[in-house]
Amino acid sequence: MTLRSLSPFLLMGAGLALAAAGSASLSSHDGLRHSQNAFALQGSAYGKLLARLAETTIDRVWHLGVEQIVPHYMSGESHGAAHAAKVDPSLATTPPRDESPLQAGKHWIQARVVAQHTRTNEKSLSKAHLATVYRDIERMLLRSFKLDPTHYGAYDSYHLFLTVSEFGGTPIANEQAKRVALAAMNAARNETEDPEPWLTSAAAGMNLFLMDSAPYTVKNEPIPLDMLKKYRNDIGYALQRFTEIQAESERLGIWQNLSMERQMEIAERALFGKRTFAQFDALIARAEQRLNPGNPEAEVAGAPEERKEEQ
Amino acid sequence: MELYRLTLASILSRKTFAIFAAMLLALPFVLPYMTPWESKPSLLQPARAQMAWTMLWISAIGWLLFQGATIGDRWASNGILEYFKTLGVSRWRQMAQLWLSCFTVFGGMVLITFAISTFTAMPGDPVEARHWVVTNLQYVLLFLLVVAPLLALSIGLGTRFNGAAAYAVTIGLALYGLFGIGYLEVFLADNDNPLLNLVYLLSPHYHLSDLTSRLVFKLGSVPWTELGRIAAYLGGIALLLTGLSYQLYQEGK
Repeated sequence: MTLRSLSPFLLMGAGLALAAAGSASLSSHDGLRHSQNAFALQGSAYGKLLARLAETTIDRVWHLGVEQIVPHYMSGESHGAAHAAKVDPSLATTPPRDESPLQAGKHWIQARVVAQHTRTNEKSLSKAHLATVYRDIERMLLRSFKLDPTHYGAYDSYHLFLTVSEFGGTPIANEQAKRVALAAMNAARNETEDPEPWLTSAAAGMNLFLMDSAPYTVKNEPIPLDMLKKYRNDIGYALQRFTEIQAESERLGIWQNLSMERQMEIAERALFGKRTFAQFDALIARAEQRLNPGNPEAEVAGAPEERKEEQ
Repeated sequence: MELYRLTLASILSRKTFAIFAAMLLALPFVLPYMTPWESKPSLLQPARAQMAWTMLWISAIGWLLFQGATIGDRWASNGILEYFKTLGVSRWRQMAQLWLSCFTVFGGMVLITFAISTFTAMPGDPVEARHWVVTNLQYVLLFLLVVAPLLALSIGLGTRFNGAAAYAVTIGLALYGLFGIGYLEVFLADNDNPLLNLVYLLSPHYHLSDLTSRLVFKLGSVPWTELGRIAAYLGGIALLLTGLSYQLYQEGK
């Protein structure tokens, strides 16, 4: 046997030895573990894009599967209109007669899309089928949250899905909702340029507070002062960071890149967050007065206002 | 070097590489603007580097490995390799020339990616900038350690089997090493089966070469000892695959 004919085997042997040594040294400190985020998709700019694009898919599955109606973005009808039309078909929106041929053509195509997705089967989905749809939606919501944990829509819709009793509400789902809220708060932590993640963080903090305080409110017991103070600090910090970064973004001219609708949407959400946050001072004052009845200055406040769920 | 020149001329005249090269040049500059960067302009630069590297991986898996498999298949079926054998060109030399002809074109793509990722997305801070350049160099090294031997394997398999089969095997190996192991890991999280754990350990962990997240999230360069371990591991697999490719390589079908 010549060296030449042996060379591939020598190469393979050396390769095996080297790979084994490298693998042993890597696995000694968990170095072989997969990042579970190939090409850094999750959390990157493209992750943000895909999380937003996924909204339409989730919306379609939700309306076709759970609500079993044609998705609003296809029909162009609001929630009320769709239900009204079901009761009385004459209430269904009909295109105006004096529209341009171009608009008429677009309406014609839209009507075909609606027909394509309109349910004609009188029987609704079976329980087992519905459970599969719920599971699919949960997976999609989780994927979209992982792609962009700072996105308000991705976080809050997943949180609602996990906590609304019809779909989640189980102890396991509630634990997941807490983990998701903590992940959303963590994701915003290093954000210094975009104010929106801090609003998501504030919303997650509020959700966590509502989940943590639920056992007390259910039993009609007072919420511990420590818990109130902790959440006032966390949520207050997030809202403060939002205000600071938003002002900075406006100063640098970044804020002006957003459309008027987006700016208004964010401003409204910020206002909502600040209003719910304002309850904390009253709650804390009441708790302090309870612990220290001699202090006449402490204000007496009502029970925490339940969070209005946005659709 | 006649075989090298012949193969390179054939690749250049077929021009499929141009599709990938054009996408590699254009997408890193176009796609970042499709992301929601308006509220966070600092997303744009890492997104450029991320797209350049992702496109390079796509070009490697979509074009390079395919090219190797078809060239190996075509030249072995046409008798070209046997002709060069009669001229006294040894198997090692033939394989090296085929490999080099594919890599001449692909090397250009690697250079483009390195240039886009390094020079159009460099952080302003000098410390971060140094990390950025080093990370890109480390990424090139690890990327080559994965892709170069896979090309040799696709050539070797191509000369022995059908081109499509050779491509399917190498692309399967690459995708398994990059993504499949991640799924296996999730499955193994609550499974103690020793056989599956052994499969996991013996799998080619190509995902270790993916440094994209170090760039996108500006994590800094890989510590040199750790890089040495990863390079030794991937280098070992590279030698193994090179030896295997030689064993598979045959001049005629």
